[in-house]
Amino acid sequence: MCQNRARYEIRVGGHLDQRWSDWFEGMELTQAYNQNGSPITVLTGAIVDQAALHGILASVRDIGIPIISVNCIESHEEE
Amino acid sequence: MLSLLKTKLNAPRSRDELVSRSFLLDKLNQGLSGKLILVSTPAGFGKTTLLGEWTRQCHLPVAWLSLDENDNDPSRFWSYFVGAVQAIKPGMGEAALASFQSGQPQPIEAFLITLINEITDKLTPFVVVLDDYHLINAQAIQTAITFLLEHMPTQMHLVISGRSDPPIPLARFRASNQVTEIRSKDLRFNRDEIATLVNDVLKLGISENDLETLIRRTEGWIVSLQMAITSMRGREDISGFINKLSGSHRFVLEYLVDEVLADQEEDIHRFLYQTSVLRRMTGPLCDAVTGRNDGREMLLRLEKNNLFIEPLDDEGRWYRYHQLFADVLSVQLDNFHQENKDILNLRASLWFEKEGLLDESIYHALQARDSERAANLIERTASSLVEHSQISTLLNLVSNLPQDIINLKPWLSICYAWALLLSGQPGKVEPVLQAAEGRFENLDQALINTTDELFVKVRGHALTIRAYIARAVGDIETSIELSSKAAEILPDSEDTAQSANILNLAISEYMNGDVLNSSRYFEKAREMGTRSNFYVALEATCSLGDLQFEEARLIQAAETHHHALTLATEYGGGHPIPAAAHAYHGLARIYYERNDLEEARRCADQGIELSEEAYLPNAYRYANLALITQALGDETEAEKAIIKAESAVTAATLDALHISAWKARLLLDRGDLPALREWATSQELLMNQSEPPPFVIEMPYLTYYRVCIALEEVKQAQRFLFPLIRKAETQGRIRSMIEILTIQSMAFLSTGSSDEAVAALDRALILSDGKGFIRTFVDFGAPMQQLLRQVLQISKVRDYVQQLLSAFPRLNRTSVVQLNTDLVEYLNEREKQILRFMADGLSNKTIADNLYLSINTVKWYTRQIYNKLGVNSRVEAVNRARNLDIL
Repeated sequence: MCQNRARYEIRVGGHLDQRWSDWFEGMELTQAYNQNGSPITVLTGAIVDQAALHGILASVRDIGIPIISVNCIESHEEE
Repeated sequence: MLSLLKTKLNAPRSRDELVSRSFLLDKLNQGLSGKLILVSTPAGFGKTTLLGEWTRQCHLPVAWLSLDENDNDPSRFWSYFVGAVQAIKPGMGEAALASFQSGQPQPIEAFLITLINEITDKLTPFVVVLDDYHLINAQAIQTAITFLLEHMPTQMHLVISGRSDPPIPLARFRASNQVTEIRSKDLRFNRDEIATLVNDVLKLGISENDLETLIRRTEGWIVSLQMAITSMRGREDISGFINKLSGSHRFVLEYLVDEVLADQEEDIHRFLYQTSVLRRMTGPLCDAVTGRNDGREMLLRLEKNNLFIEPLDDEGRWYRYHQLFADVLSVQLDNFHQENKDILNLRASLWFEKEGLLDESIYHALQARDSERAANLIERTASSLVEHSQISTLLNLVSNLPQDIINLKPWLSICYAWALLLSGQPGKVEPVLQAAEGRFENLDQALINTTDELFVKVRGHALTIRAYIARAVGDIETSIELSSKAAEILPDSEDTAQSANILNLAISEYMNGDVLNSSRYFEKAREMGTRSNFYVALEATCSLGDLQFEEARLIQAAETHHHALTLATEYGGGHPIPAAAHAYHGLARIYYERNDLEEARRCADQGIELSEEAYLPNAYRYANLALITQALGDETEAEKAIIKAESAVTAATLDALHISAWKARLLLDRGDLPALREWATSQELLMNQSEPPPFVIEMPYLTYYRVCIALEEVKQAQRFLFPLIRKAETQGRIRSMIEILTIQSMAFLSTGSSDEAVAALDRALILSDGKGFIRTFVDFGAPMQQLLRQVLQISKVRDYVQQLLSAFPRLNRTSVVQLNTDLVEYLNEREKQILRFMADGLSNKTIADNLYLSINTVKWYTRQIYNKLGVNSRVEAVNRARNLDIL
């Protein structure tokens, strides 16, 4: 249930380049486009727990970019 | 009070507004009809600017507080909160703040209630703005803010502004129409405003097409509009600029910051980068960090060019970067400059240290990853953090340090140990203390001599801390031993530790039943507290009242508690502070004993009311109320009260043992034998006592004994009564003696030893004559009544026995009146004196002045007189007295 360490994919509006990786705790940044053609950035990476996820969401909040979606794409519960 | 950063209490300076947004100011003004104004939008929507402007023109005074992440320590948060309110009304809230410095931390509600009362009394309508509230994540503060909103005085208005909605029950406040909200849709610039701004005000001459692009790309986000404007001003080809902006898919703010930076010279880049590590800046600080000497000029230049900077004061001394810019900036610049940020932070740390601003010096030392330096600085501020109850701040700071570095710092370890103790983690304390002391073991003798003073201090504090832990686990003897040793070796300069020791000794001796020693220490604690800590003084005063009660000096005890109440009321600015519940509890017990049940009930209720709103522990107060209401004949109320008392204690503690004993007292009064039998079999601790019980469990033990008598199992517990009387006698606990003697007489009576019963009761009567004891006797019911009648014939204190006998049928007025010829002599000299003044028509106040008594004392005497004469008013008292020829 993505309670513990898990891979997350966070989509935000606008293009951010890899320089922002440190800002988002080392997540990988990929530039892409939405179905309607607007630019988005996909942040992907392993997040140790829910507290860390909230930390990253606060980082998104603090630079004022809109969050489009947050998905848990792979859970490492069993490990 | 700890020193506050003034810049946090300043509303930001208003800049000339380019576009009037008066509808927002109107909305804020309308919000003053409710409790809360919530300004909640993501970063960069101009919340702070809007509120700053509103502050300047608001018709009410505004207290401003800019929060930062360090404010998550409740003690610090509320110190700043009070500091902000004091900018409106100097001196406000000092009494409330002192609750953070009381020896035993008070629940936050005690602080809030004191503050709320003071605001209610002293302030005209005003506003408090909490800016950047999203940085607060401490649950304790959210709970307290909710409490404040629920109990907020009508003249107070709260504005909470931040990047996310605060985790408080907003829906509830919304439902009662108490919230006005300003959100992104309100703050976002609309099409017309953007058009007015760029073309009418700034006259940039932007075409309709380009305007559409600008609106689409910025979405009315104020921060990006500002950046775009900064970039467009002075540019020839505005259309080209907007074209490029339109073509870029990059995060709009990053793009615009890049554009603005591209226009700046290299030395500005470098300056921005170097100073971006700073949370606030002033010229000399910038110089220290950059190694240049033009910090002040640079700051002015940045301000003039609208570059990311906002002033924090009106004198143009302190600035900070706009947080959002600073964040984007740091990501941008990191890639251009390789200068070591650790070194920049270290320079900042050194500068702040030199200026005596330790908090910020520590912050930068930690940022510079210089643990040793940070540890040195934290050690210097640690005692003050403990003294100001900034426990979570200290724990948080220490958590940044590696264990081996903490171990090198004995004084830091001591402060850390205090913080662990005060935050309820006594289990973690011992290793920390051992590390602190271990530092001295490994040094050779020569070195120890040079650190003698520190060693003694560390040793003294370690002993004090261990003494507290020993008392908490019930090892009173060890606790007294450790505290005495600590008190002996601590130097005079260590007065905080010293008063902690004195308080510990006073409480421990009390638990031992040593009235004499305990009084001596409480006197001393009161003296020390009067100088430095009101809460300690108040608690010590009430404890002295309790001790006088134990000495059977009921009048003095009542006077002491009344005095404590007067002090607590003055201190709370007209309302007693919640800690005064102790005094009410003491008074309720005294009135109960004197059989003034109405007054006892009133005091018990007030004590509960006071402490309940502040969530102070209430088990004993409810248990006492149960006994009082039972005596008043209200069994339902008594049952309710005892259930509340029971639910307030956890199993298997000393408190639980006491509450269970109070419950047995109710059962005794009702004569519920089956329930008593069940109760008695469950009292293993009391049953298996192999030696005379210590004073701390005397009350449960004596109750157990009374139950045994009621169940006719006298032998079961009788053996320790003699030693208990002797011990009470040596320790000067006359009240205990009276109580134990009455129990003994009942025991003798039930085994048919009538002569011994009479002798024991006679002794109890002689001890208590003229002291106002009634319920101790009356609570035994019919057997005692019978025995008293028997004693009446031979007693030397017949008036007193008569008085007791008259109290038996649940003190109703008529029976008193019938008997009061006997009572007249019982009016003592002082009471007769006051009665004469009453007959002359003097007011209580005048009587008090004439007799050099406090007005409360006079009132107390008045009640005694009414009781004794069986009347309810002055007129009745005087008439009655005339009829009886006393006047």
